[in-house]
Amino acid sequence: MSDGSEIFLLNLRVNGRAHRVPVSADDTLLDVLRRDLRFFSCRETCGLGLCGSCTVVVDGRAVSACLAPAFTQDGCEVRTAEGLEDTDDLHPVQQAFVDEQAFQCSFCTPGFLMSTVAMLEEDGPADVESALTGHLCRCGSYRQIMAAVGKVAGDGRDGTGE
Amino acid sequence: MRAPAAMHRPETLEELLAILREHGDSAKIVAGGTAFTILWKAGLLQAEHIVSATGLHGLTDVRADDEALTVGALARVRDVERAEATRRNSPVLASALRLVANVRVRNVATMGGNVAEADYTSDPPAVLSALDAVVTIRDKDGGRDLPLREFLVDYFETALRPDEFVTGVRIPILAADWGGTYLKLLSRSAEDRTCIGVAAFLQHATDGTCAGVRVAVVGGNPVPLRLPEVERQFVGQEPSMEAFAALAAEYAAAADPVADNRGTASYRRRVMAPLIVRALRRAARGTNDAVFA
Amino acid sequence: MIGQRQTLLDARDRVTGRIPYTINLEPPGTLHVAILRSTVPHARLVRVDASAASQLPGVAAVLTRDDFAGSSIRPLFGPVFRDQPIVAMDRVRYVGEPVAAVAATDLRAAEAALESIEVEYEELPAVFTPQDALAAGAPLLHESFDDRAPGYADIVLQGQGGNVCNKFQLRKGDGLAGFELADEIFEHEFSSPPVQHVSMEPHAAVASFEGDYLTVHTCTQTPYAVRDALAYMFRLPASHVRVVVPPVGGGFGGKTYAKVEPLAAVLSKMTHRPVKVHLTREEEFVTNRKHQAFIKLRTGMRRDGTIVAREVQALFNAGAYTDISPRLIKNGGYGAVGPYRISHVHIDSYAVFTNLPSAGAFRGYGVSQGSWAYESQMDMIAEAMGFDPIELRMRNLLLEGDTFATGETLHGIRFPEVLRDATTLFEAGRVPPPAEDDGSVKRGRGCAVIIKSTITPSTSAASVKLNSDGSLQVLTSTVDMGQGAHTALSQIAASALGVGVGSIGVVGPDTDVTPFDLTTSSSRSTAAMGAAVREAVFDVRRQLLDLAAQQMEVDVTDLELADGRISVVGDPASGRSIAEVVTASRRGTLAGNGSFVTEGGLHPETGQGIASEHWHQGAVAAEVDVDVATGKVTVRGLRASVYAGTVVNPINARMQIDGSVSFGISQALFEQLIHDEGHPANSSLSEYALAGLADLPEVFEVSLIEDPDNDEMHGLGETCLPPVMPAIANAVADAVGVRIRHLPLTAERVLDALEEQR
Repeated sequence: MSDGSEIFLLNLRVNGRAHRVPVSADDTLLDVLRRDLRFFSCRETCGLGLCGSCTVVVDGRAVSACLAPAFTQDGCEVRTAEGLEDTDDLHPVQQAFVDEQAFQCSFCTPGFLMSTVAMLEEDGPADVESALTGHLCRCGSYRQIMAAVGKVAGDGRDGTGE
Repeated sequence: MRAPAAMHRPETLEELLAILREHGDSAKIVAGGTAFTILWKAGLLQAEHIVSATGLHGLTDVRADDEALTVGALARVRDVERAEATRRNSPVLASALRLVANVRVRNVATMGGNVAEADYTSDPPAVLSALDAVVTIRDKDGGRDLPLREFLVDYFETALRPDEFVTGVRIPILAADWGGTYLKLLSRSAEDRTCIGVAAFLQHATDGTCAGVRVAVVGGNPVPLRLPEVERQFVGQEPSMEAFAALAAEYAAAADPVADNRGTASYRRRVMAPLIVRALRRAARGTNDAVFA
Repeated sequence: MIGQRQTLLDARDRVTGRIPYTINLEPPGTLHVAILRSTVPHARLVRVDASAASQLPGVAAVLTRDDFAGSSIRPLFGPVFRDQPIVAMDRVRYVGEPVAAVAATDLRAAEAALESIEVEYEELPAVFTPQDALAAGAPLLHESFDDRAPGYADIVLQGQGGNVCNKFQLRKGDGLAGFELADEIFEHEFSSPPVQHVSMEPHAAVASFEGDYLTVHTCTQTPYAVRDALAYMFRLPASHVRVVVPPVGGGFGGKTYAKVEPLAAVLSKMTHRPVKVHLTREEEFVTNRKHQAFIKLRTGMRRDGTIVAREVQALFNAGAYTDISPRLIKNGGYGAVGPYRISHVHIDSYAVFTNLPSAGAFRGYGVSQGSWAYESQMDMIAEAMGFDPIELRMRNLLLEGDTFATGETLHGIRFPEVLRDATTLFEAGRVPPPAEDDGSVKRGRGCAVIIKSTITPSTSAASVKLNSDGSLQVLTSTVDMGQGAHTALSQIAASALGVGVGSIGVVGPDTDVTPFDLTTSSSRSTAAMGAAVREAVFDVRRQLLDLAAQQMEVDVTDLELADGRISVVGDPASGRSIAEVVTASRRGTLAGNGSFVTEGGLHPETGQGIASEHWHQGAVAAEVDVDVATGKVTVRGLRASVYAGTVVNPINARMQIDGSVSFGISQALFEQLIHDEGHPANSSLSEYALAGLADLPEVFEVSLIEDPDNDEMHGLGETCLPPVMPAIANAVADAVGVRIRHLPLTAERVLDALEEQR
């Protein structure tokens, strides 16, 4: 039950570690991740949930952190791109993005990575186009991104356009 | 400057309804938060109390009986689109939901939030309106059921009172001899919001004529445009291009389109008729799907 | 090495999200900034009162025009004319212009304080189009043009007066008299709307004054231009201003020259604390943009299909301040001649002030606006005269050794090959037929070919340090903003030294450390900075060989350097490693310097001279479907071909063309900044439509045409953007017979044209 106060003590786990952050009704999950906890892979481009730059995985699902009111995320398990790799090895999705060089400026990259990770963990190699709709890459690296995602999803797509 | 708002996280429906009874006039309910957050950040909403429905247990079921598909208000759009009950009993709705926004939005947006938002270009209300869906509503003293067409009053306006809460949507199941489709026009990029959406359902009689037709259009009117009189006139006619065009022309004439960056009122009115014809052709073929125009 | 596929050097940081963009920086004690912006398009600023705001909790400073009274800080900046105020001085000239700025301990406090600043405007008449701005009696935006910045001496200033910001003109052959030789004359007007760069990363800067030493971290494409602007502003020697550029999250021209840095720096000066400015997406839309343009194009044709004369009257909407408009309208002016051999040319190109946000550099740099006109008209002429549009182009395309409209002789010219290559898309069966079978979807084909210059004259300098372990550091002010410049430069350095890419490190940009570079723009860095880096490596290589010759007691001409080893020619066993030579020399490091300086400039009256050090050549062929019921255009197939000379890194070369095409499709079909009496009406990514993944054609081909006999590198970052728009419009005309002369080809515009045609 709530106490109807103007400050809420938000408990959440990020990449396996517990955090407690006081938030107001104006704060989003993006504010908490960037401003308070310094997970800079979560980035704002549109602030409207349509570009995908701030995509994180919450309780197993891809969400736009910019659209998630912080106090509604109490008790959630959040994953960001910083938490994907092991000590030495990149996550297979990260490795595929490196192998296919699926980025230019890479500002959008963590968002694409997290949507891909969520898609693979939820459904296995499912409909890649559908999972990546709503992700903007202004550099236009889409074909390489599709090649990378296709590679980990195992559909053998070729993004080179040669 | 907006004063800091109080945050509430009720864990039961009763707690939520009690908060609404006390603070309803100055409260906003947030479920998935997708629509709320955009308006809140832009300063377009005023509220002293923000009531999160995310802490509630329940209201997430998607189930069907012989007559209707019932969707809890807090069911996520993505769960509804993937639920076996939806895909089996309302395949057009299941497909149409897959065309809403993107996976991230559908992962958190709720069906209750979708209808309560009363967005004039939102896709689900087109299909729900055509299927004669009913919104179930509760308040502290009881509740009421309202057909979606009475629930949606105007552009971003519903019949919901400040102390009321949408608990679910009941969607009648069509007989197997109905076919349907949802046709979605994006007038700009593939990432854009809907310009015009047409939900069309058609029932074939054994003699080849139409036993029934339902057409609902979003994006061309402040609320989903549904013309039951025009639909009734269609019954008994051959499902011909001429008949489709005549029906479509009535809809286009009756529409009161809202202009925005996706098209002027004139554009929306002009494309509405051919899109309705296209949707009816697909419905007559029984595609039972949702596609981009 | 050159020509090899090379993954970006910092790829790992990019996929872990740890790459240090400017927006991540926040030194201890950093203040955050919110900006109060004008709500009217043109007004005298009667009163700005920040006294209440400055008393609010958390607020460290509020900057208004009053802070410049009696201050030594110069409040105006700009790359050509210093006409843009940090915050409005006597008046405001567009909706969204900064009027005051609050620096506070947190962003929310800064935003809250804005509401306590009182502003009183006395509204003035406003103009929003260049035509209205040039009309008699139009309100004037600027009264004087006396504060010229010292850089860019090649930019000729002329034509100022009224609302004309600058004029470029070109006269070739007999000019207008050349039309007497024409059998037919075609005259049409074309327009392009203003559009925004929409880099994923917004403008951001962190400025920190320590004593009279200013450090700014910023996501600029022009670190030296920003340094010099700040040094002038604060009356500091350039040695006291340090500009550091972290990796940039997309630029596309929008991050050239000072933008938010002056505001951050002034607030830091006032507060003695680090100050961070980080624009919102909405603010991005009023910060910089592509020039809206109206181009009247008159073309004189001989009956045999030869173009004999061309007249261009171009009006570019500069917005409220000069920015780089004088250069852009020059390139856009001569660029509008196109890649064609035309004997008689007459061009007048104007930048005109209006009460809209300033326009500046934008990927394509004026060429998009011009080629939209001439390549659209080319198809109109072909249709009217009964020529095949490809053959009409072939008949007139510039060839090797031809003279361009500026009088310069062209070399490395491959236009026919580039166009022919693009149009191989049209070979039967390449693009699948329309899906809808009710006859409402029509298919059409179109192509376009363009010529684009690179900024000339220009200067790039580089230094290298050869370490005693044999590794090499490249010190460069070229900005890595997604194009992979640092990786390409390391490949060039590795090739020049004869070592692997793994031993190269790239440092910079940091104006305290890395040498001068004019700009990371104009598709120039791989070629221009690449040449400077190569020269610097050769410098250090010479020193290395001299040292080795001394150590080995042989003549330096007998030595060769390969695979990281120096040996006597014909005697590999004599070899020693680079590390051994440097270590034995006891120099610690060897330093080398290189520079690349080009000359050029055009005569103010005739436009004759040298416009470009080399010429970018690109062509696009497109197949589209047009839905005649909705007017919706879908690009189904597209092939982009570019003359690349020598490709350094095929991965990034190709991806930049992918990016250009995606920009082009977006501008062809969707993008336009909409205003209502000067008030922005679509300053969000919901209302401003951008092409996404699903808007790219299913048949999408990129062709890099290389020349194995020529090691010249040609810039690739922009070349295939301008031809996309006319190629698509030409395909639409081919499909349904309607000619749209105003971008973008929105569904509604196409439907309107179809109905008009019926």
